[in-house]
Amino acid sequence: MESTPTLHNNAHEAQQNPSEGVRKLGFWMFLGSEFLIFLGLIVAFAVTRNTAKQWPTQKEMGLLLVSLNTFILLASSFTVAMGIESVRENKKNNLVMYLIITAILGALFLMGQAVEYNNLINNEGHSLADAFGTAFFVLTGLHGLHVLVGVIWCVIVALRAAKGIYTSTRYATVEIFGLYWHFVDVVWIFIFTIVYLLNP
Amino acid sequence: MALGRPNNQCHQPITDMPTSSDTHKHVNPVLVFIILVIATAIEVAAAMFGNLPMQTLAPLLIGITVVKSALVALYFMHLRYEKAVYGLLFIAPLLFGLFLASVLLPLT
Repeated sequence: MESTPTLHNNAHEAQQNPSEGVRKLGFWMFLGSEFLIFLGLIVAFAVTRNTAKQWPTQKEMGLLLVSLNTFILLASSFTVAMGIESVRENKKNNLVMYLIITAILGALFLMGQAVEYNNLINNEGHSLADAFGTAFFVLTGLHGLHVLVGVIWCVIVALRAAKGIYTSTRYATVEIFGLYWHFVDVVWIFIFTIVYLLNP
Repeated sequence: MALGRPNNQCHQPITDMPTSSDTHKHVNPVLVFIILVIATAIEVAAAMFGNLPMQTLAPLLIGITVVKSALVALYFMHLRYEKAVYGLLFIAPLLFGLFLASVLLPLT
């Protein structure tokens, strides 16, 4: 897909929209504050685990399913990266395809998380009332909420991409969405290790 | 004109905001993805079948985690090619988390 030539009025645009640098800086500040929240919850999780009397084992937590979910999320980060490479090369159809795959992978991750929660609540008998449940569901639930927001955002970006809104010189929104999605992936990399792999 | 837009804006196609030209040659995302998958497989194998004591397992897994997250941040989020201040915004919370962990975990 070739980009449509635009009559670009820099002065008008500068008046209408904040510069790309300001947008990016603002978004990185947002991600930094989000990172603070997640790291606080991860440390709280570790402290709770060290002080709790009862804690589920790796097997009870369904490590295999969660590992599969981790690969799914890593794959979704890869498809977002490929989508951004596509828009940089002005390949609209590829961008749309990668965004759709990303949304599907994100939805699969959420389905996996739902299966995991079902197992922990109905088979293992955990709830928000016990120490494990409080620490675990708050941390992974907040992350899942971020994935859900990301999936919705991804669908919106994909629909806009299909309309040809993004070109090789104008794709700031795709880039910002990519930052968000990769951030969610980075947070999960930490959660996966601390919550699941370092579980005695 | 119904929306009161200036004349010269009426026939412009709708596009996204401009992106600064990035002339850096990016690392191939496929390569980064393969490294991430292999690193994750090593992590899972070490945790499930390694039979390693926690004193060995913990530094190993945390080391791999730091490398994985650094790869995503540097190459997928393009921090390697961005302004240093963005990296600072990412690392500062990490330092805070390390501080929090180093203070609280020994108390448990």
